[in-house]
Amino acid sequence: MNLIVISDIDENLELVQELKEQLNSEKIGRDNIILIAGGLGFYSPQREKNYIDKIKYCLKELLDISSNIVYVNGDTDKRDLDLQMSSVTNVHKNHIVLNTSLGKMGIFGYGGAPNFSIRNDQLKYFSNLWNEKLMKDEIKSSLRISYEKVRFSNPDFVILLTHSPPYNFADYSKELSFDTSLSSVDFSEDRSNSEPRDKKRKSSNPKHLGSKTISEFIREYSLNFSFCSHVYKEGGKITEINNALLFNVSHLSPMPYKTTGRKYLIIKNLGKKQFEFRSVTNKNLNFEEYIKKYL
Amino acid sequence: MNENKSGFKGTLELLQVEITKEVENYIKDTHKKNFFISLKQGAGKTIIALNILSELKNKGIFKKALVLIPRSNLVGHWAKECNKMFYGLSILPNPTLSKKGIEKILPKIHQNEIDGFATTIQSFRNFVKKGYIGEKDFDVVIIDEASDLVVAKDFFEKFRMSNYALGLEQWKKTIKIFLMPYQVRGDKIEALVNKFNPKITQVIRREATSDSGRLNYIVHDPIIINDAYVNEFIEVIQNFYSETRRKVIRFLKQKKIKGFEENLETLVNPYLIAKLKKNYGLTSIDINQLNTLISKYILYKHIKNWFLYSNREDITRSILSEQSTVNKWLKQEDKKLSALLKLLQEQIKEEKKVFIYSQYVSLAKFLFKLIKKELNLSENDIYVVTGEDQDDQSDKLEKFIEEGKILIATPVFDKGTDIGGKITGKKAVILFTPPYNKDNLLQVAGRIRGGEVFTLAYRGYEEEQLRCLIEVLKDNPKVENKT
Repeated sequence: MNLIVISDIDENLELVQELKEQLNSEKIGRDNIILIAGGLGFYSPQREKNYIDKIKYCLKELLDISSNIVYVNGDTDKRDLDLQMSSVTNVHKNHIVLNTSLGKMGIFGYGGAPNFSIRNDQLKYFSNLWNEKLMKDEIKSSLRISYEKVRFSNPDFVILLTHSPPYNFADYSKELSFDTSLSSVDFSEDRSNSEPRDKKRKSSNPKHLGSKTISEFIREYSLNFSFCSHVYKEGGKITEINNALLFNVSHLSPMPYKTTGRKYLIIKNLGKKQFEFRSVTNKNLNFEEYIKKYL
Repeated sequence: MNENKSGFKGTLELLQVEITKEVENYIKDTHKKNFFISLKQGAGKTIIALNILSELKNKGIFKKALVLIPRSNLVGHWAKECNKMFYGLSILPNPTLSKKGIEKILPKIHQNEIDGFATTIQSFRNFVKKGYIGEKDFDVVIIDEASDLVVAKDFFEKFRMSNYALGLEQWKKTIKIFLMPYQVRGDKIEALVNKFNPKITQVIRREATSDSGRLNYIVHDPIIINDAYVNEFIEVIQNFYSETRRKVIRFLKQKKIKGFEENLETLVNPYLIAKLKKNYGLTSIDINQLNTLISKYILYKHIKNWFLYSNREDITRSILSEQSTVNKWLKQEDKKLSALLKLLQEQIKEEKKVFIYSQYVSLAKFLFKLIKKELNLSENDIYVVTGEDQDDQSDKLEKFIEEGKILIATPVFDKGTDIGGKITGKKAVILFTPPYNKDNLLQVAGRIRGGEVFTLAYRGYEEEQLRCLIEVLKDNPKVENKT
């Protein structure tokens, strides 16, 4: 059994099928748990049915290689997303306890992302954002209640699943936008060398886009694992805070950052913290073909 | 009060005296207003600028000075040097002033309580735009490191002047003194002269004449690292990079857009793209095509740098790490870093102070941690300075000069900072990420004011590129070449 953590499938059925094929080729079976740190699709009231259908197709594929899917909704998902699929659970303001051969997992979460992480002129495209100043108490109280319920079941592993990263961990980037078609990497890496901006223009300098409330929660409460995504450029980063192992699990969708896209996290042993990041690519292509195909 | 005479506390070099006199004479005899002073590194441009101010003050030609500096971290340093080296000159450092700050400082200048203030060229533009300051407030403007004023070739003006200095050319009565290094191209200076009215503008270009004004460098051939994997990766990426560049240029030609061939990266700026869309009637499909090409172009450039400059962290996090050859390579030692450590050990053994130049903040920090650990150095032995250390940049520099062995710095110290001038012993610079622009290369290498220059290159593509670049440094007359 494995714990597979993905994010930002973006209704991309073809990619989900590629992931399934890759894992099937390893004869991984169905006895796995899949966690999704948000980014299931792109919700708007006008395309609600299409949105739900496409997500369901993707999750049905994933249920071929897993016994349970646990997710939180991301910044572009429907705020109160309820897919009504068996073995699929949304843990936004909610929790689930799973008895598995990896151990007893208590999973709880919070979806969406803080609005300051999105470029001002792009806010209208994101359906699930929150104002951290106004929502701070609500978020903390929701996380605390879910945590206490999880703890009550005395799990081996307490897992926090969020879309937003905590502040100051794998969250340093320019504000995100919906129309980033193929941004590469942060080319103003050297902030000292970046040109000072005209005040009339919005800042394009990188900054911390994570949630301070989630960060405070991780520092105050005892967790084993915390998974997030949202800040794509920082995908694949790992740190340890308060004995909890934190992962920005990157994004399965190749967009917007081709270099950190197509990635997922696989944990084979939670107790021994045996994990590896993998990508949905053909690693046997020669370097030139690989670059041509995936970048 | 600043009524007393001012002057240099020590003894000026002959060149410094000559240039001061020359400027004074031009002002007196020909009523020139603009001076472009282009001198070799180490000639003491700052001292010359201050000496001109001092002499003009003594002769009653100026009472109110504005000093414009390219980087905020240099403003304090400039004012400090002024107070240290000159008596009777008071220039206040104010990197970023608010309206209130300006309202406080201007009366002091007008009432002659101080001689002027130093600020950044970026602030200058904001102050002028908002009407906080104007020509009436100053008799003299010194623009240090003015080579950045001409930023790029432009279709309309041949060379485009930096937005930050726009408007300065309209200050007709104020004396403006632009200081720039000798290697700034003549056509760039010519473009500025035309902008500032050739009739009242004088160019003073001079190589150092006295031996003490010259800097002695020993430029070593690149240290070559054998790593066939890296060379293979770089050649592939370089091909994609060149191909994408060709596509961008073809696109620009098709749309009859001129003036960006030398600066394709600027096309990533959405404001510029919006301008192009309007001026050249580009469609949304055109814009998407251009955005995709430019993003790819920049992406290839970055990936190339990841491999060349030991950015294994980003490679590991990227999908490249999964490719079988890259995966194999990642399991091997980083040969460039090993060569760097070996070089540093030798330099430290020879009691040299070493400045390592890194283009990137993350790389500078990474090198700091690695070198400190691997060479078992103490807190006082090694320092890292990036744009994030606004407050203690000069403290760290002073500590390095006094007692440190290694200083790693990003472009915050690429110009206007005298890293090596006060070092009495042996010194060396390692250009870990050598700037491939000739002007920048000479600027960076010149920071140590003489000494040994080292570079490292993977055998093959990087070696070829770097050898061409090194020739630029070796072409300098007072350079001793070592193979």
